[in-house]
Amino acid sequence: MSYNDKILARYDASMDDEFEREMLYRSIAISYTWAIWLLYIAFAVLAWVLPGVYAILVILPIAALIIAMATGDSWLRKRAPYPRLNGYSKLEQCLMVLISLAVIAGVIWNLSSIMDRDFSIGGAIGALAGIAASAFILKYLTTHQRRKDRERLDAQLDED
Amino acid sequence: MTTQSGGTNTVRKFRRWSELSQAELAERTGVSRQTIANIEKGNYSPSVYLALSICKVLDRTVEEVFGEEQD
Repeated sequence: MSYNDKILARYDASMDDEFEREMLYRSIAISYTWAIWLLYIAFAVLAWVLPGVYAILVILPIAALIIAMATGDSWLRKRAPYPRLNGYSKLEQCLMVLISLAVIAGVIWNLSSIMDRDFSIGGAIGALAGIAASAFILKYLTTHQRRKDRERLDAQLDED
Repeated sequence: MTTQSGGTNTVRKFRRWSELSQAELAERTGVSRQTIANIEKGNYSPSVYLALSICKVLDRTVEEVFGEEQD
């Protein structure tokens, strides 16, 4: 039994019937979304309050979040296609971009005293381009990924 | 949505008797082929609504398809 299976078994065993279990998993989806928002805000705060070169350490919790999300995605994609990205309001999208900008600005502001000015500007432009590009292509990428996953999973099925 | 093991069922048998592919049954019940495949394998217990929809398409009763006493 893998660690992921143990996690699921533990969650399943913590409830008595299927209704309670479904409510539990729904509450976890809510917790997950809130955790991501609060972590984004924490990244921005860390990027500004960590002094000097230590601001770059904000990468550590970001990497931890990315690894955790990748672990869940990997588990999911062995069983069901990648979820489509929709339902995010303009306000949520704007908040996400603003917080990302705050993280980048904080890191660059902290590093500006020890980094070459041109390097800082280059980094800022690169990060902004990355945010802008991801805002435009993320929906396309997730839709494409979902279609590819469905094709792959269908191909793995037994004879019809 | 139920995710625990669904045990045995005769969806595959009755689907084949109806000369339907997994994809066709999936389309008629409004779900993905993965869902039908996992129901057939007993990896997933469908909701009452999906189970009824499957039984309607297969022209069988719920007892015949998902009942405890099966061939």
